[in-house]
Amino acid sequence: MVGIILFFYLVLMLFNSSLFIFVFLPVCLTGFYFFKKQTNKTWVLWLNLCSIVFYGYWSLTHLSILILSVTLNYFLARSMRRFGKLALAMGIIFNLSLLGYFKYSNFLIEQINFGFGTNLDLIKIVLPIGISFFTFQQIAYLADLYKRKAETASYNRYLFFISFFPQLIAGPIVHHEEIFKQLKKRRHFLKGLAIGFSFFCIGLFKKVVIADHVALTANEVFGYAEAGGAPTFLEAWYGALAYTLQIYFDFSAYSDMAIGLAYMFGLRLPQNFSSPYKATSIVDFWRRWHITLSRFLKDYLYIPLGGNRKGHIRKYINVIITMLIGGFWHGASWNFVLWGGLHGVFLFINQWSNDTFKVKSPKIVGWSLTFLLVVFAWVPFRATNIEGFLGIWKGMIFMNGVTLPESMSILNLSKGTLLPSVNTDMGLTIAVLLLICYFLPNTSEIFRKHNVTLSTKGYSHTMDKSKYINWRPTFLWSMLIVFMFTISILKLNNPSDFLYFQF
Amino acid sequence: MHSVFKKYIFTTFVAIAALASSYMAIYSYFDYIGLNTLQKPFQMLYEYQNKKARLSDASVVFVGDSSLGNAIDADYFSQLSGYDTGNFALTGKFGYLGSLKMIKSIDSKNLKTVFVFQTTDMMTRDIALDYNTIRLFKSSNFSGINLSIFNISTFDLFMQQIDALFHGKPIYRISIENDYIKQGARLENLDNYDVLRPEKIVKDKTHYLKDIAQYCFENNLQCVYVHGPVAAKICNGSPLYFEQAAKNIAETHIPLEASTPLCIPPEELGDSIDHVAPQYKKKYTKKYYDLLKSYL
Repeated sequence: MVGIILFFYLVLMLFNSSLFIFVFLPVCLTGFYFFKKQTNKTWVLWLNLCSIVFYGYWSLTHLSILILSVTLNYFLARSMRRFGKLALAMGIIFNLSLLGYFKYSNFLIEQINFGFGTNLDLIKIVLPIGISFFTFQQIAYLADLYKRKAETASYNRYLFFISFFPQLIAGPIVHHEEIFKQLKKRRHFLKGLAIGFSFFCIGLFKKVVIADHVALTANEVFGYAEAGGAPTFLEAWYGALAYTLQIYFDFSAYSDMAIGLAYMFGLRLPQNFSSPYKATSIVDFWRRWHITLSRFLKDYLYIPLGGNRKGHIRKYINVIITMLIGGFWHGASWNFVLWGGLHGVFLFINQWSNDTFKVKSPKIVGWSLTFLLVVFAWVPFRATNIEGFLGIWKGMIFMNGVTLPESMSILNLSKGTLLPSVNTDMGLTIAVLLLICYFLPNTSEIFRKHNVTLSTKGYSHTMDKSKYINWRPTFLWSMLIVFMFTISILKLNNPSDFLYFQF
Repeated sequence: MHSVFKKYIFTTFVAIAALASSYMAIYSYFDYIGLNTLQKPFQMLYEYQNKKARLSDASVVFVGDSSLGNAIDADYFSQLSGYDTGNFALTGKFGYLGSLKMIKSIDSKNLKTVFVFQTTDMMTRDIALDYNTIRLFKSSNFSGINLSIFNISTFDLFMQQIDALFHGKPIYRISIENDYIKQGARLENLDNYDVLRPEKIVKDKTHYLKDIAQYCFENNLQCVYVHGPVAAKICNGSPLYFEQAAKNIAETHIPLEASTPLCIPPEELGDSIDHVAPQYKKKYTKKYYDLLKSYL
């Protein structure tokens, strides 16, 4: 379905790898400590060099693609004043063409082969990691420059904005203004290191200990369904819930690590997740989930399409189109389009009922329905084929029957063998993690007093005023961070990849 | 204000350094006094077989796991076949990757035939991890500080060793007997062992088998895949699994000796469902010689 797109995972320098934590990061921090005393230009240059090494470690070819993309966009930005719309058009065409070639060309070939019965060969392509992110950032910058909402920058600063390694390969999708404004500010190294490292450790723990653990069940259940198996009710729900938790803890962990890393260098990145599973409506969910992507889609797609300025019908159409494209951005596959389409429909229904009835449902009803819909929609997002998601959906709505473990005996429901990871321990784990998602503050909220993340206007941001879980530079917190760090390092035996690297 | 953060950073990093140093120090001490050093499991066996492989002049070799280690007597096979034979069995944890590394370690210029001899349920096991050990300050008197100990499985075993020491029963290193790990008590009850099922086969398990095929092709070696023997209950009850496994192996282009393994009757079973009891090792060596002689 996706074509021959190869990922060289084994040589990518992941945040959750010993090489990154014990070699790369200390070197960057040491250099930064010395260079920050010089001019801004010097430490920015140093971090650019670090980012180049970070990206180039994976592939020099793709590093050259990144540099080419940044350089070309830079010159288009510089020529914006003179060539205006032409420069913008060229920039958009170039960026979308680059993204389209690497990400979607094999998908296109597959559709042509399917539709016309041809037998065209797929192209051997290696997708440059992070291309979806840095492409969007550059389009946004050019668009804002054209509208005179952005300032031109030196090549050094522009390269930094795009390639700063904490956010380079999987976001958050930073806005140019967010970065350029901060480059002139003073850096408090010790504070940044203390808070940033702690933030990073929490993210690392979430990824290595939590996300990778629930992934075992998700992989087993989805693997079974994709191979033609028919997961029963319990198995299907275990799989769906496990993946719901996996993707949240995995992606938010990456964002936490990116934010923590950036803060070590004195920079604040925008918050990307604000307890999305606390959302009481689908509209609310999209103010909490992948906030920077939502923001981009709203500002550079939804609003240019007309937004809500051309009546209700047009608004709903614009929402659905935006979500379909948003889904497609995640991957060159119909299952991502389906996922985006589902959320588009959910949003349409949410907005239509708000516009029509103007009555708010009780929070518990809103939350339950929202969570249910989100879980259902994650199923096609994760499945690699139609059998996979249909199998799990069917299982979730009793169509594959109910199998209980041998130890249970309720009415005449069938007892039998469940998949190995569908057991009491995993059930308890899933339950505890769901409670954590709902009742506990997220990482940004834990650091609320220190304002580690940037807020995005119109989107949820660290509202929960937690009384009990607030990070402070105390001995207790230090030991907790040491514990999280130690356990995470021990689990780093086999670095696993972040889910959003494929986007 | 800054002193607060300074103190926090200092406390945190000193605590991490102290924990890491203590762990490495205790670990190195365990290694020094002969306890099972809880390096990645069976590290000692790996080093034993690796050393043999590097010094080998064999023209026929067996690589694989414990099903091989307990089933084939290399010296006896040499007598039967007339070919200098080596057995460099590891354990199932090393998987196909371990077998590949073992083949690559063999320095024999006479090497012609390689039998990749793996336990029947190998296809259902996770893909193996690599076993590169990074050691600091290695010398002739000191095996070095093992930096590869920072993983959860080693840490778990480390804690088990601490627990065992507290109860007065330290776990010493495995001992080699009859060219392989000495067997434990005979397995009496097979009730907990289920037959093998095709849906349990791990996706992309044959990844390293393909690498083995490639290596054999590039080095002009005849490589043959052989299922290790297994308890009769498993052997006779898993036809669909063996059918699927045969298909998967066929895709790697390594010839498969036979799609079904030799069955071990209960009285000949050793300490595991795929281990022949030590007294029957020569008998099974003869059986395998009869099966494999056409490849020699």
